[in-house]
Amino acid sequence: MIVKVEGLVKRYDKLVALDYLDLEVKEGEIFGLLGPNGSGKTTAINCILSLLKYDKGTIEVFDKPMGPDEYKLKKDIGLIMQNVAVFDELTVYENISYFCSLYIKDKKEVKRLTEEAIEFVSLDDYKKFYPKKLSGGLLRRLNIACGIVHKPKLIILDEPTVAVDPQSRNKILEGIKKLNEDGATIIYTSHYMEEVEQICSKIAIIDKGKVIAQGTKDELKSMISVGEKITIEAYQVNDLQLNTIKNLPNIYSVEYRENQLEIKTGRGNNNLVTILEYMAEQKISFGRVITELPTLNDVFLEITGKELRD
Amino acid sequence: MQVFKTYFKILKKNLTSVIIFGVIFITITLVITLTMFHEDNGQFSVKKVPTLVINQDTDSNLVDGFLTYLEQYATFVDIEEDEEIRRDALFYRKVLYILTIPEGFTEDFLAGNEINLIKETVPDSVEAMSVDTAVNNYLNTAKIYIKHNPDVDLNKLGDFIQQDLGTETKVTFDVKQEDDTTAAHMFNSFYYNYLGYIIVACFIAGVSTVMLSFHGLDIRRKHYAAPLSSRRFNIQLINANLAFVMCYLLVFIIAGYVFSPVKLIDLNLVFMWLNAFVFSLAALSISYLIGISVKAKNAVQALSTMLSLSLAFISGMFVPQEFLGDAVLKLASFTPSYWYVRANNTIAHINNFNLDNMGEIFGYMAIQIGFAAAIISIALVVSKRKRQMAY
Repeated sequence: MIVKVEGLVKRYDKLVALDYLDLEVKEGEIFGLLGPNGSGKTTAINCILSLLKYDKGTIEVFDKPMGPDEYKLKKDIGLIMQNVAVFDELTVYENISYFCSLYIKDKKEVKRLTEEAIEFVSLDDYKKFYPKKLSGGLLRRLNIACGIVHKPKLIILDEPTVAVDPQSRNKILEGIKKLNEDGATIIYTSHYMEEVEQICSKIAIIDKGKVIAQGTKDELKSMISVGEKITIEAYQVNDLQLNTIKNLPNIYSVEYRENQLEIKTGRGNNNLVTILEYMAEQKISFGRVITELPTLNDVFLEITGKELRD
Repeated sequence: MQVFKTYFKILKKNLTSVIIFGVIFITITLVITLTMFHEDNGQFSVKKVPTLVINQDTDSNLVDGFLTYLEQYATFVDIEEDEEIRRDALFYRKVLYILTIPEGFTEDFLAGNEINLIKETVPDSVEAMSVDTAVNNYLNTAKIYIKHNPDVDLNKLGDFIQQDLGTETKVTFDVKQEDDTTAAHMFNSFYYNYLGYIIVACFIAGVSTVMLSFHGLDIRRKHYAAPLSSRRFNIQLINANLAFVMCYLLVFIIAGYVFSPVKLIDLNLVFMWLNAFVFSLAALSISYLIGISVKAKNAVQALSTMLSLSLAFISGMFVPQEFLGDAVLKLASFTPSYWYVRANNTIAHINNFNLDNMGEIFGYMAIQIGFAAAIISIALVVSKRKRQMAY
């Protein structure tokens, strides 16, 4: 086990930030910690890294108890934070080299790893640039390079794509996948469910300091009753027809707003066909039809009764 | 050593402002100290005064001799003999002294009658006094000759007087060594008192800025997450700070010695070096505290200016402590800079070191170290609290 957290409790006076949190991260996983802002993701990460004292619980990293002085364990961990943490007075190369030298003693090795990290994040043309001269996306890449330069076995990324343009975000996500393919275990915290869904092999949904659901994305989606979301552009649907659609087999909910008919169905085949047949029979004219599988937001919504973005 | 090296890389980036601070301050310091030193150096040289002489008397050997003698103290200027033009010349300082030799001057002088030389000078002119003295010297000596030898040859009178007044007695005071020592102590006292201001300003500008970079919240988190103990991290930072302080102080010590008008290294100077080093530790602790407490570089620069100036003014770095009021000195005694200046002043006045006066100096240094320890303790508490409150 790479990380094992059991019964973790962290209080800030009366506020319970972590409420008996349990997590297990296995080797080779990209473990997503998904939750809205203030759900306790960063607090959990800080506790795992021993940056923060906690009130109760145990944390093991690489099967050993983690503590502030466990430098051997820290040596194999890389941290990439939400805010860019680099020195404005050092160049791109000097920053990466400095953070590498905190982990690696050998100068030649530091140089080699620095070059590799620069290549990995495609900052070769910006080696001598100072951070203030870099764009937001490039700065994020520098931040990542500083966190992964020493080739850690465990990489913790705490919301690394906040306020990043879509192009840079994709590059970052691709980079994370590549790091994982190269053997690193990743813990990735985010409140962007699309990102988590896109890259994580295992996901823990966290809310109010508790893990409310955990598993692969398919496992999570199978936990909820909604199997499919159907949106039909339909005209002049009356209340009686809406009621009838609602009573069709395997229909979970129906909403009609501004000529958009939104239907959530349970798991099963032919849900769409049944609905469209009824509409044809009732001569309800319709346009575009969109069907979607449930998202992690639906999972969160069904479990907590609120949107992930709330 | 990675933190140590990075400290200097960051410092290098901020060094321009530190160097500018240093160069400006050292220039101002040297100009002020050297000016003050030269004001009271006992040197004298004759300065010739632009003078207009209007001779209404007939040409005589007496007048010729008089003017020849006067030429040693005055530069004769030719100006039209128009009253208006003469007044303008005085007003615009073309001449500082107008001497009119009245008609019948030679005759009256030789007859022993009262003579009236007419003079016009720039009001309150110091230069006029040297011409007055020269005129009086010449005429009084001439009067003595004529009184005691009425038949004196007027052709030779001028030569006699020149010879008499030109005779100088060389007097040698065997105090050169003592003068040099006093001068050196005076210069060092001024220089090292002003240095206190430079130390505070430059250290805050330099050390605080680097500390600010190392103690940014996110950078701190990255350091805590790295396999580098807080102890090792802090030791490297402290060593880097001390190295910076030593280098910077050394530059100022060398500059002080190079620019000193008297090259003398004695125990007084060594004590001043030691005092400057001790004060540097106190200034370093202040800079460290500011570096970990303040969040913006602009605030550091503002604090650097404000704190260094206020400490300098109330502690007697600019104005001697004797001229400061009791209330100000009382307030200043709660700052290390007051004890630094006091130690410097004490050192400057010591001619023979003994246990009593050395004890007094070490006492002042101990107080400065006490301040440094107290400020560092506060800094450590702030640092610990910041770490606890960081998340």
